[in-house]
Amino acid sequence: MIFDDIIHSIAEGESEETLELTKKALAQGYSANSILEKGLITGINIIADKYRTEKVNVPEVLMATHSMHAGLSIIEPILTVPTKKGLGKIILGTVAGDLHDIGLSIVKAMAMSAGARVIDLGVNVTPKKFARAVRKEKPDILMISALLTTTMSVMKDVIVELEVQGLRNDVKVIVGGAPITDAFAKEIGADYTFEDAFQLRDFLKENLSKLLASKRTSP
Amino acid sequence: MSKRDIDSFLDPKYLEEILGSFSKATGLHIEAVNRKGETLSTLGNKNRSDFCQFIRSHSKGEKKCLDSYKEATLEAAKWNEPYFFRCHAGLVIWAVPIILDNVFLGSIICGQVLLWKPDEFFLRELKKSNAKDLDFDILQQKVKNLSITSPEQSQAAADMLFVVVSHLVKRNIHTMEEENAYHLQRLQIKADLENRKKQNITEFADYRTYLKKERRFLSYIRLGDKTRAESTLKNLLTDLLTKTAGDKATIKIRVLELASLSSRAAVEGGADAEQVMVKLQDFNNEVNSIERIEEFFFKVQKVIEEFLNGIFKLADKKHLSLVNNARNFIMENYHKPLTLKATADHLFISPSHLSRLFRLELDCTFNDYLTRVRVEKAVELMKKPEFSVEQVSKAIGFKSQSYFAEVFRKYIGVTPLIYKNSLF
Repeated sequence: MIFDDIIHSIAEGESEETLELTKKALAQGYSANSILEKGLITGINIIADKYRTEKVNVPEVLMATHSMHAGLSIIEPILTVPTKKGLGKIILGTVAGDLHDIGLSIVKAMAMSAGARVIDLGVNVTPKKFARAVRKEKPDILMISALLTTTMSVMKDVIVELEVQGLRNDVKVIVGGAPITDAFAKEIGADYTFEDAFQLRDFLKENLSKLLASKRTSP
Repeated sequence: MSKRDIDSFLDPKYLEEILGSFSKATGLHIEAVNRKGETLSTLGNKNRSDFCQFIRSHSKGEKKCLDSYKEATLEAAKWNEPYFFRCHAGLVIWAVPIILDNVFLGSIICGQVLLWKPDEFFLRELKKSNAKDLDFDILQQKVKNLSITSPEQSQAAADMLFVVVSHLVKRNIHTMEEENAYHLQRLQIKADLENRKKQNITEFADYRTYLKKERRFLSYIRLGDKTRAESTLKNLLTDLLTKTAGDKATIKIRVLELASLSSRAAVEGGADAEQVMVKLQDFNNEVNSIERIEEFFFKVQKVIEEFLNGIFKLADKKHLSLVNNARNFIMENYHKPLTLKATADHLFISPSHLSRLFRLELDCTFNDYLTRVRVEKAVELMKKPEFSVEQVSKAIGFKSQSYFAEVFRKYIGVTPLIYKNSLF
């Protein structure tokens, strides 16, 4: 099964193989979405699980990440449906002090596949920089990511900064990352959080246009 | 530490003497950089790779290199361990922090290698980030000369370098152990949060729930139930992190409260008051000077563990497991007419032996302990408005309500009725 091969190539950090296999899977007619879900994300999740139990070292994680990004680079152009006007604009980034971009890239791919225009601020983004981007780009949704328990609290700083600058009501805030729970999201005043990238995608597919409509009618 | 010490530590000659041979032995390039990411010296005889030199030949490339080094140096110092990263040009590098007497000086940068053969994705990314300023054909040529190391080799080199640098700054074993414990604590908090998310546990959202859990936790301490106390404590701390959204000042206050409440509960459970108060004092002093959340959590768990251990003075493992089994049996059956004999039978030991064990390990009689469990449960049940005092008394295994009232007053200070009326 080609997905198993993709998963294996990511776990082993064989980026060239990941590239070839991803192309092959596309040629065989598998959809970009299924390759992302059943191949790339499953592969990187295996490494993440192993890392949690400390069975892999950091260089191996770097290799797996590189492989996943390589695969992602092939399917991203296909995943991206042409941005339709009115499907909104999304800004996303990882908070200051946090340099993790795996989840961010996956979420980015999901948001693009939902048809929104996506602006990626990258990692290590300060609250001020988030606010500046919101002021300038006027996005419909701001997505903030944090992977570390030590950087979670910066998410709150971002929301506070938006409030201080009077920008909070113009944008829906979605927070995400491995340690982010519903209770935490509620506590810091975010609008939504999701268990994983798939739930986010389903939510966006179903609600993106509704969300935008409700935003336009509300004062 | 004086400025001169810092200068003399970062003296290239001194570092060269010690780290030069590391570079020669591993064939890896290393350099010492300051906090701003500026290179102070290259150690050993392995120069920067052609690739890096070419990137740095353009001012924009050099700026990006400096930024990468600075960021990595800060991360390494933050976690106090080797920090692996990919630089803007895609190479794998690791930074080992130099922290001398708690002063962060800079880092040793090592690597500038690839972990994989340069694939088309790598080259595409390289082109995207550098082709504007540099001749890409030349750059591509230079990529071919980069060395490729295995992940094991890189990790081993980083570990070894870390040991050498730790030795240089005379970091003592105690600090390293503590760092390691904090690292585990971070993993633990994160795992806990992730589990909650996966299991969709009914979410904690207010202090009411938190305080309720806190009361349950304290009752476990009073009963000397270490297992339940420790698992509830973990839970409480995760709740606290969520509720405060990571606000350190609030967390500190809550943690200090937890420690003092636990100290009282431990004394009520039979721990030695003098010892407990000394430990609490030490804890308060220690907590004053710390900053990181995982340190708070680690220290409070440690001191509470000590409190709990104080309840069991003798550490005879065999006895302890018998007493634990007896205690679990009581916890599950306190509402029945429970006797010393029934419990001893359940454990296949003689009643007199069990009685002796309770005296030895818990410093009380079997009946004292049973009563304590019942009173704790009574307090819990009284908080439910739907139960009358009579129902509570029955539910926890008292045959006579007047005897229950007498016992309750002895432990709590007021009669059950007064207690209940004070709640609603």
